[in-house]
Amino acid sequence: MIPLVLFHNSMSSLKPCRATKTTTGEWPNGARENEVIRLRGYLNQEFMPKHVALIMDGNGRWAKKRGLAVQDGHKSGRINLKYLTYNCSNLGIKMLTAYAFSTENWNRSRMEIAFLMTTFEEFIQSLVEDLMTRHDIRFSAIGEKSRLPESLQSAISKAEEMSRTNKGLHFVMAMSYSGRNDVVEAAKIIAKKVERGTLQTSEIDEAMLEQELMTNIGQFPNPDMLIRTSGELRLSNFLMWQLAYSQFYFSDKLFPDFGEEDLLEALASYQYRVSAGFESDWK
Amino acid sequence: MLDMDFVHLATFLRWIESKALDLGDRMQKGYKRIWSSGDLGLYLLWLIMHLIVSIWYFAVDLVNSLESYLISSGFMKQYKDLDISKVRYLAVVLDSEEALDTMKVLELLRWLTVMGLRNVCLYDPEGVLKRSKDALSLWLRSEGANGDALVKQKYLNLEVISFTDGKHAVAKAANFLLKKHYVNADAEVPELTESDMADALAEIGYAAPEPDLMLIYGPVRCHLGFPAWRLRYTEIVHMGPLKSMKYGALIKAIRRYTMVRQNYGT
Repeated sequence: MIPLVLFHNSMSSLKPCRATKTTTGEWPNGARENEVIRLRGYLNQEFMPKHVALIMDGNGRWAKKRGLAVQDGHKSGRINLKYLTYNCSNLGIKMLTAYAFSTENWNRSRMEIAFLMTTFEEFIQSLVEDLMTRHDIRFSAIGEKSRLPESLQSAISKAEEMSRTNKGLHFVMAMSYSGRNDVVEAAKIIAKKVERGTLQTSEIDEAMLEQELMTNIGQFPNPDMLIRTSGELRLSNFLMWQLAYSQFYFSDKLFPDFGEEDLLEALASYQYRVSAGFESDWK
Repeated sequence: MLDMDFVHLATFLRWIESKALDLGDRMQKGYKRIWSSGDLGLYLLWLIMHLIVSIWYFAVDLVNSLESYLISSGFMKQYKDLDISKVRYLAVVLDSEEALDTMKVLELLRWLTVMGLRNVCLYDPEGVLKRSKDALSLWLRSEGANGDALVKQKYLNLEVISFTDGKHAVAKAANFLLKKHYVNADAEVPELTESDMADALAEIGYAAPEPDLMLIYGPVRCHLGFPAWRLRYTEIVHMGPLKSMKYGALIKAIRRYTMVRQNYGT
C-alpha cells in the first residue's frame, strides 16, 4: 500500500517556486502555511523519529547564489536552525543533534572561524532567552569544547546548566566534533577507568564503547534518521558509529532554504519506510 | 535510424508487463478490503485515490527505467565517457536477505568489472557474502577463462566483510590499546589520537581503505553497520532493491560521484 502522504509529498514538488526568505533570513509572515498544515496532518505520532541528526550544509553556497557575503549565509542558517529546533519540539521529536562545526572546519580562514564562533554564541544566547525558557528545550554541546573560545565555552556551560532540568526536546549542538575522535575518546575514558580500578574488565566490547560516546547524554543516543541538506551524500565524519541503522534523507535544498515543509517531507519519508516495515530490524 | 539493442528492449518490455500485473494485484487486494467494511462509499473513495497514487508511481518507475535503458544503451552521450579512475575503492552494501541472491550479486560484480573498477568491498550484516565469497571469486575467474573478453582483460580485488569487521573490530583495537598503553605499560600513558586507533586496527588485521563511494542495495536507506571507522567522506547512494538493479542506474550513480567536488570541511 502506498500511503497518501507520499502522494501529497510528490505532488507538492510540482508546484511553482515557494516563498523566499529575505536576505536576513527572516520568513515572510504566513509563508506556505497551508502547505505546512496539510503535511502536518499526515504525520503519525506513533512513527515519529525519537532522535533526528542534522548536517546543516550549504550556508556559504546560499549566500554566494544571492551575491551576499558568506557571513550572511551563516546568519540565515542560524535563524533557520532556531526555527527548525522549534518545529522539531512542536512535532514531538525528543532529540535533535545538529552538526554545527567539524574538526575539519578549523582549516577555514581565521575570519570565518571567528565569525562562526560569534554566531554560535549569539545563537546559544537567543536559544536561552526564547526556546529554553518558553518551550522547555534542553541544550547540550558535544565535541572538543576545549578548542572553542572561552566566551563560547562559558555560554555553553551556562546554557547547559540553566536547561538541565528541562523536559522538552533535547537539542544537542556538535561543535569541533569528529566521529572518529568520539570513538577514540570513548576508548580513552574506558581505559582510564580500568587503570584507576573503577571499572573491572579485561575486555572492552561494543556496548562499553557506546556507553562512553559523546551522544550518550540523552535518552536516545542513536539517531533514527539523518537529514543532510545541500545535495551532498556523505556523513563528513559525523556520528559515524551512531548512524549505523539511521535512515538517511539527503535534501538538495541549501540549509537556509530548508524550512518546516522540507522537514515534514523528510519525516514523512521516514514514516513511510518505518510503517511499511522497511526499517532495519537490526536496531 | 536508431540502432536498437533488442535484448535490452525485450528485458524492458518484460519489466513493463510485470509492473502492470503487480498493479492489478494491488487493485484486487483493495477490492477485497472494500467488501469487508460497511462504509462502501468511503472505501471506494480510498480505492480511487490509491489507484491514482499507484498510477503516478508506475509512471515515475517507467520514466526511471526508460532513462536507465537509454544510459546503458549508450544513447545519452554524457554517460559514455566515464572517468572510472576517480572511484579508487567502491563499497557495495547489501541487505542480508538480498545477499542470498548470489546470481544477482555475481551479475553486479560482472558489471563493475566490465566498467573497469579494480577494488570492490562487499558488505552485508550477517556475513552471507562471506560464505559465498569463494564461489563468487571462482565464477568471476571462470568467466574470464571461458572467453568473456571484457571480464578476462580486467581483474577485481574483492574484499568481503560483515558486521564483525565494524564495531567489533574497533572494540578489539581499543583492547589492543588498553593492553599496550594502560595495563602493561611502564612509561607514561600517551594522549591517544585517531592515528593510534588507525594503527591499532592495522596491527590486528583490520586495516582497509575508506571507500570513495558506497552503493546500498536493499529496502533500507542506511548503511547497516558498515565499518564506521571507514566512512568519513564516503559518498552514499541508495540504489533500491538488488532484484531491480539496472546497469544504467549504476552508471548514473558512479558518474554523479565523479562530478562531485569535496571540500573536506574547508
